[in-house]
Amino acid sequence: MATGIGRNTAAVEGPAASDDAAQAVPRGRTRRWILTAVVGAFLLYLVVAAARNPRFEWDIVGRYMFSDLVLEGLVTSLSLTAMLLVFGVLLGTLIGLARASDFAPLRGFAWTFTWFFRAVPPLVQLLLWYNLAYLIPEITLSIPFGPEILSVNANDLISPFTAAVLGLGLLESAYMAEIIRAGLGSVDRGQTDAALSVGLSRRKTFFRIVLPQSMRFIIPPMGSQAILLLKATSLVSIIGLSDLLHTVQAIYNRTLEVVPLLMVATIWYLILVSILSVGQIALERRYSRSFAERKAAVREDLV
Amino acid sequence: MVRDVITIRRLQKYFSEFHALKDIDLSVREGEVIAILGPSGSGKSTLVRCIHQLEPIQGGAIYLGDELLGYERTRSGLRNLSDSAVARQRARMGMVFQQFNLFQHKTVLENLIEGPTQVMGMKRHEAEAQARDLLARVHLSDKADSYPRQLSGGQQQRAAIARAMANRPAVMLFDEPTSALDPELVGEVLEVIREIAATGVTMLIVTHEIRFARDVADRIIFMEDGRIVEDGPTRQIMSAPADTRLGSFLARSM
Ligand SMILES: Nc1ncnc2c1ncn2[C@@H]1O[C@H](COP(=O)(O)OP(=O)(O)O)[C@@H](O)[C@H]1O
Ligand SMILES: [Mg+2]
Repeated sequence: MATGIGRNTAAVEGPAASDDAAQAVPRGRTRRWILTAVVGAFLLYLVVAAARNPRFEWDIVGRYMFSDLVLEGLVTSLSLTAMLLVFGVLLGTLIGLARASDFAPLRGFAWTFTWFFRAVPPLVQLLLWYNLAYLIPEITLSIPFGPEILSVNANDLISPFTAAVLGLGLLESAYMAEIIRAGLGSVDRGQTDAALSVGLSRRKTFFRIVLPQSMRFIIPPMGSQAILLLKATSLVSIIGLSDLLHTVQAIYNRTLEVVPLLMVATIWYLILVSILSVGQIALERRYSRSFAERKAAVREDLV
Repeated sequence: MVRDVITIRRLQKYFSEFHALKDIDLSVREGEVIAILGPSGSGKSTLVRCIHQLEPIQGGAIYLGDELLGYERTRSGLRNLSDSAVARQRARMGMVFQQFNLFQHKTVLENLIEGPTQVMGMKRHEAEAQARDLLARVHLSDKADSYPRQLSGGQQQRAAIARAMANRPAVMLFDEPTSALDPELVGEVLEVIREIAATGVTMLIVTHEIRFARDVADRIIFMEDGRIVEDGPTRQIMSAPADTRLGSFLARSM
């Protein structure tokens, strides 16, 4: 009884000498070609349309792409990203460790920290820190019911830059803390047992055995976090910090060349994020291989 | 005179409400090889983990030689030892785990010198020389520079045994060293343990390999429900009548 035989398919019964999977024709090849052509044509249309639309004013885009002001804004965005990353890793490590601690109050504090800073949107946090000066006009350090030790005007303390570092940095540490906690938790419990068993102290167990092995779980998500962070820094334009976005806004407020200048920012963000993404993919590749293979490969390179 | 290497008195272990070890009394003499048998969940692993201070205890006392483990005596009673003091005590015992637990990011040789260099204060080249001797004893001389992942289970466990001996411990603790192995790899690991036992090393071995226990152990302990219910010379234990709980356990396990 012939079942499941398609319209154009000849019924085959028993082995035949000519059967060879290497000679098989893949299915759906034509369909893929058509789809590729349609998508390609559409993309081409978009590029051509954008290039030929005079309102994009590409000559203006070209003029501002490498102008000093824009490059300065770019540097501000990049250094802010780098600073926030360092801040986030340092504070995030502490919070992440506190989260993994067996001391309940510490764990509770760390939990509250992560909960709060992850729940409040970054834009709100930026505005909150920036406007802290209005909420608490004076930041005062004093002994309760005793004399004042130190008093600073919050307006002096909270510059746009500090507001940016706090507004995005605390949030960043909260995410980093989660990444670090998860990474530490991914290392098999038996590794700790074995480390204690050979006589290592708890501190050495952590730094020599657990932390190095958690790195392959920690580094790749930190890479994606860096990309998110770079994009998030564009939010600081709202509090007047001269990052890339704020710089182009400042220029188009004067010249009214809104779209071309936004294109300048767009292109720069595309370039930077693409570079970071390539790095991120490399990191992921590197860390998804086992330690063993990686170190063995390094060794072979050295020979 | 033969000394006691380990002495346990009225040990109590709880996991929250659950009484996992009840009134354990045990003395291990120098050079003695003891096999610990018992059904799954009877507290065998918990007992060796308590001896090795990987689990806190809730009552009684454990001594290594004359030294009280985990606590110091003060005028107001016992007080927990500092982490570094506990670590030093652990370094005087070697432990072999069911899941091998070799440090995955270190080569076999690096695994073996971790304790000697980081804890015992041995120089690196001395530690490496000693590690190579130990690797020869477990027949792994050619694997010194391999990573754990590159080894079979049996090879990993033999490396782990060598690592446990690297601090020259007063006693070796084994927690089901062959239970995670494919059947054809069990023999090579048991053989290595047998060879080490023959050199007079004191051992406590939790195992389900009854035949191995009979061959290698001087003494057998049978645990049930958190208690030691039988404790005696191997020959006497092995001849337990089949109508006793021990006898029927042995019959089932053979
Ligand atoms: N970390 C733990 N938390 C709670 N209960 C545990 C823990 N470890 C072991 N137990 C319980 O203690 C009993 C003894 O366990 P274990 O010592 O592993 O037995 P065995 O090694 O003889 O199979 C079991 O009932 C087990 O469920
Ligand atoms: Mg067990």
